[in-house]
Amino acid sequence: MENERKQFDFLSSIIMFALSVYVILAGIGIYHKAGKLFYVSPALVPTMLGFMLCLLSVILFLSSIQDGGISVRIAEVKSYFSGILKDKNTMRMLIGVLLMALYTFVLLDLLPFWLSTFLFMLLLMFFLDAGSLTKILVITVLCSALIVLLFQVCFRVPLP
Amino acid sequence: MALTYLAQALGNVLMPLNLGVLIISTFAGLIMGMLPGLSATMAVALLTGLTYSLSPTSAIISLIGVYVGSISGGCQAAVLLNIPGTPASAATALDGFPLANQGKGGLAIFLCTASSCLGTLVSVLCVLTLTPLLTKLSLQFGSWEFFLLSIFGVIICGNLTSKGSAVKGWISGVIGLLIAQVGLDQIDAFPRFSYGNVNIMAGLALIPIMIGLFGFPEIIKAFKKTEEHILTYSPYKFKEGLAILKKHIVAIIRSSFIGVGVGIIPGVGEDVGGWLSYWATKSNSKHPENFGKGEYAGIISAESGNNSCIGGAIIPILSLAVPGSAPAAVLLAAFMMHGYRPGPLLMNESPEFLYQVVVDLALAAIVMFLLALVIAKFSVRILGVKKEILMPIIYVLCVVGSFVINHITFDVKVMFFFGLAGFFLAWAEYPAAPFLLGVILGSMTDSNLRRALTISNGSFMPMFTRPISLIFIFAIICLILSQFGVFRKLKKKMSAKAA
Repeated sequence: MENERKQFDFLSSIIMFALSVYVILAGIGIYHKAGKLFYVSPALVPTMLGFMLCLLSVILFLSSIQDGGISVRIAEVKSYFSGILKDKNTMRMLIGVLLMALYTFVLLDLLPFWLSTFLFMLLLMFFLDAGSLTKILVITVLCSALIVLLFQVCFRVPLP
Repeated sequence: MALTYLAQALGNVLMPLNLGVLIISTFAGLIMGMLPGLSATMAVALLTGLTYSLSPTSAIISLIGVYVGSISGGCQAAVLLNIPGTPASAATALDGFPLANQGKGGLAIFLCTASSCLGTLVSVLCVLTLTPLLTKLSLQFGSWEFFLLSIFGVIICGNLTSKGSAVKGWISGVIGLLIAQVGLDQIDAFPRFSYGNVNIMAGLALIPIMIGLFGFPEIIKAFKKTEEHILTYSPYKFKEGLAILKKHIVAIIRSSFIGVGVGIIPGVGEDVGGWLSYWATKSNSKHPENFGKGEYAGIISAESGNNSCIGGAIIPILSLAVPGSAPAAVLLAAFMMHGYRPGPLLMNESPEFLYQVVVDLALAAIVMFLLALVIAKFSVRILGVKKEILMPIIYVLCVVGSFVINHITFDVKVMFFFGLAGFFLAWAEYPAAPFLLGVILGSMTDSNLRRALTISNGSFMPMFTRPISLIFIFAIICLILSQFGVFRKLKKKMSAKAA
C-alpha cells in the first residue's frame, strides 16, 4: 500500500513539475505581453503559483524516492500499468468514459438532446449489463422523456 | 429588528409553494445522499441548475433543503450497506453497520437521523450568533488580509483533507488557484491562458468544474463490478431511541460544536467534522474498546458532528464569501447566481438574508427528520437500485446541470475535462476539496495581492505591520511547519533536555 502510494507520488510529481515549468514560462510570456511592472502585472500570481507548484512537486518527488530510489519506482510504475491494462474493471471504466466522451463531444453536437440522451443511456446501460434489453429500453425512454419534461416543460430551462 | 426578520423569514418558508419546495428538495437530498456515489456536493450542484427559474427565496430554500437532506441521507447506506452514502457518513458506518448486524438497523437509523437534526439545530444557533461577529471582524479586512485569508484557506484545507501528505493537498490547492487565473484578469482584463478562445477568455464557470470534480469520478468508479450486501431494516421502539438520545446529550452537544468549528474552517467539510466528533467521543468514553462494535455514542456523535458542519460552513460564506466546505462552495455559487452578494457587506445590504438562511436551515432539519423516518422503511428498496441503471442517468443530469448555467455546450465539455482531472486526482490520492477552494479563492488571491502591492508601491512590508495579517502569517507558518514535523522534533528535544 505504502509502495503503491509512493509510485503514484513519483509519477504525479513529475507531471506536476512539468506543469509548473509550463506555468512559469507562460507567466513570463504574460509579463512581456502585458508590459507592466511585475508587481502589478497580470503575470504576478500565475508566476508565483508556478514557482510554488515547482517547489511542492520537488518536495513530493524527493519523498517518493526515499526507500528505493528512482530505478525501483520506475520498475513499480511499469509493473502497475502492465497490471491494470489486463484488469477487466479498468477496461469497463475506460469504455464507459469513451461512451461518455462520445455523448459529450459528438452526439450532443450532432443530434437533438432527447435523441442523443436516449442513445447514450441505451448504449451505456447495455454495455454495463444493467438488465434485459426490454427493461433498458423502457428505462431509457422514460428517463429521457422525464428529463425533457421536467427541465424544458416544467422549469422552462433550455437544454443542450 | 432581528425578530421581525425571523418572523418574515418564517412566513416566507411557510408559504404553500415554498413549503412544498422545502419538502421535495429535502426528500430529493435524502435520496441522493442515501445512494452511494452521489455526494452532497453533487446533489446541491445538480439542483442549482434546476432552481434557475425559481424565485430567489424558493431557490435558496430548495438548495438548503437538499444540502441538509443529502448530508443526513448518507447514514442510511452507512448503516445498512456499510458503504457511506456520502463521505460525511464514513464515521457512521463504523458503528452503524455492526448495529444493523445485531438486528438494530431501525434504531441505528433513528438515532442517526435524530442526531443529524439536533446537530443542524445547534449549528443554526451558531449561524445566528457567530455570523454578525465574524462579519464585524471581516469589515476590518483590507487587501492584505483577504490575500492571506485565501492562502490560509488553501493551506489549512490541504492539511486537513489530505490523508497523510499535506504536500499533495497543497499541490491540489495551488492547481485550483491556477485554474482561477484562466480568462480575463479582474484588474486589467488581460487574457491569461485563454489561447484565443472566447469561451475560455470569459473564465471557467464554477458549477461545471464542481460537477466534474465531484460527480464524474464517482460515476466512473461505479462502472467497476462489486458485490454489495444490504441488511434489512428492523423495527424499534421510539421510547428506547429517545432514552438513548437523552443519555448521550453531552456527546451530541460536544459533537455539534466540533462540527461547527470544523465547518467554519475554509474548505474542510462534513467528513472531517464527522471523524473529529467520533474521535472526541471515543477519547472521552469510559469504554473506548466498544467503539467499532456497535456503540450508540459512535453513530450519534458522527452524525451530529457532520450535520452541524452545514451551519458552520455557511458562517464564512455569509460573512467572508469563503465557503466552509465543498457543498457550501456550490451554495455560494448558487447564492451569487440568484443575485445575493455574500461577504462583509451582506449584513448592511440585505440583513434579512441571514435570518432567511437560518430559518430555512432549521425547518429543513425538522423536515429532514420527519421524512427520513418515513423513508427508512423503504430504504432497503432504494439502496437496491442498480448503479448500472443509476449512473448513466446521473451523467445526463451532470450534463444538464453544467449546461443550464450559461446555456453553452462549452461548459459541458469543461465538466468532462474537470471530471477526468478529478478522477486522476482521486486515483493519485490528491484531495479534491483544496482544488475546489483554490478555484473559488483564486480571483480573491490575485486581485487583492495586486491591489495591495499597487498601494504599497511593490513593498510587502505593510503585510507585516497589520495585526490581522500577522495573525494569518503566524497561522500559515505554524500550519506549514507542523506538516514537516518541526513541532514534534522541538517537543522531543525539550523533553530530552528536561530528562
